[in-house]
Amino acid sequence: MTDLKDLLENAAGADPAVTDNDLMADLRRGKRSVRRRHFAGVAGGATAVALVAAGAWAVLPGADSTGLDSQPAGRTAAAPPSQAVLPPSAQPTKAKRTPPDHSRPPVQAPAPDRPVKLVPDGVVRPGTDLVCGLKPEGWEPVVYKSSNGVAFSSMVFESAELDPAQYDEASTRLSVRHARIWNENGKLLVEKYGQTWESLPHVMAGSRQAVATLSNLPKAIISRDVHMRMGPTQLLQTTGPRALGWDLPTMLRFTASCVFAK
Amino acid sequence: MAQDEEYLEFVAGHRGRMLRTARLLTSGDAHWAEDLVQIALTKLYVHWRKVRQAEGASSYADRILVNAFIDERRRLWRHRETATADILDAAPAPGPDQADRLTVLDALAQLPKRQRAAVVLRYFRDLDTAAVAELMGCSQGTVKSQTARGLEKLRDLINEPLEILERVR
Repeated sequence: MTDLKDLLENAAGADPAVTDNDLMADLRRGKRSVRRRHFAGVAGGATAVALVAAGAWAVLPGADSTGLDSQPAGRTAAAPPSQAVLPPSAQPTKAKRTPPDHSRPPVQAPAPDRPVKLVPDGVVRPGTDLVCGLKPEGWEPVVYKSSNGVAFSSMVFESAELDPAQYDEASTRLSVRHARIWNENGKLLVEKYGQTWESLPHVMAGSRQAVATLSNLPKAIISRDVHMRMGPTQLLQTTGPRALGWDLPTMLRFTASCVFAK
Repeated sequence: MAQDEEYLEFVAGHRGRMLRTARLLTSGDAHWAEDLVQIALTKLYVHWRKVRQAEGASSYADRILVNAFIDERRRLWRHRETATADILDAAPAPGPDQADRLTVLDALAQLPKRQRAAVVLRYFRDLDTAAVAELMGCSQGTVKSQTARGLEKLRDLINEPLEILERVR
């Protein structure tokens, strides 16, 4: 039995991924429209709006002079991280935080004035097979374990300055994990998008091809995803909250520094 | 800068929903749907200061989207900026769902614009008659009559058993 709601949901197609290109293009169109109104003398105060928009455009995080946030971050090859191994006793611990209040609507962490700063890392932490040559300054690495003591194949960095009790955890967290290209009826599809790697627009993360998108998590927390190609079916995925200064060039530079530990 | 960040966050959170709504309004015309979304988001930016509250911005954007659809005259060609949304737009895989999708889109295309808009806003967007009336700039009575006529025509076109579609509001 099918009702009209289901028919319309199916007919509307899949929820499209919103990319940085889309957002910047919408912003550019809006600014052009404002400028046209100014020059046409249509709206009172349009001059002030155009000047503010032009000034804001110059300092918009992640935007270069062309306004395109999806330019490749430069083929500066990230040096392979020197894999200093922490002894098991030196396991990272989660900073003490007050438990998040799930009864309140989630609040996204605020956006800083400039992108997050990356500093050298390269530490192989117990419980994960991922290692990154860079890490965000002031963020703490965390490795979570399941109840049977086996580590998840992922790594998480949390902003030490923000308390998840005030902000949604998804907006204070950077994660690094394995991702896959799946063989589905003879087609090799990226699991997140359900499309082939070749059909997706690419950027460069260091010397590797990558796909970068903005994703809308439940409850409208906006995050940036980068999938970096590591092998025929292996991907390394980083997910960072855009609002915390993780603009695209920073995400690509960080992602390029990550490898699977030997 | 704060205004631009707010605007971008709104767009990131609502663009997908607006595009899916536009797809139904345009009966699956992807380029026209993208045009409508771009028109709505452009006008939204121009008037962002007045519509900064989340509810206001969402309703405003929807109102522009619907009115742009109802008012727009078909052009012989459309100029549109390249966006990656359609590239990353994962189309439904071929299969039974795809056949249903085309049937519904074809059926929607047979409806006059206002009937189509009323049906999509009521049953896809789950808006009540008051909200739809505000978006379409008409009375609630008009919304009810447009919806009823649209549903009646859809029943005939989709050829679904009557009892199925009677389950909807």
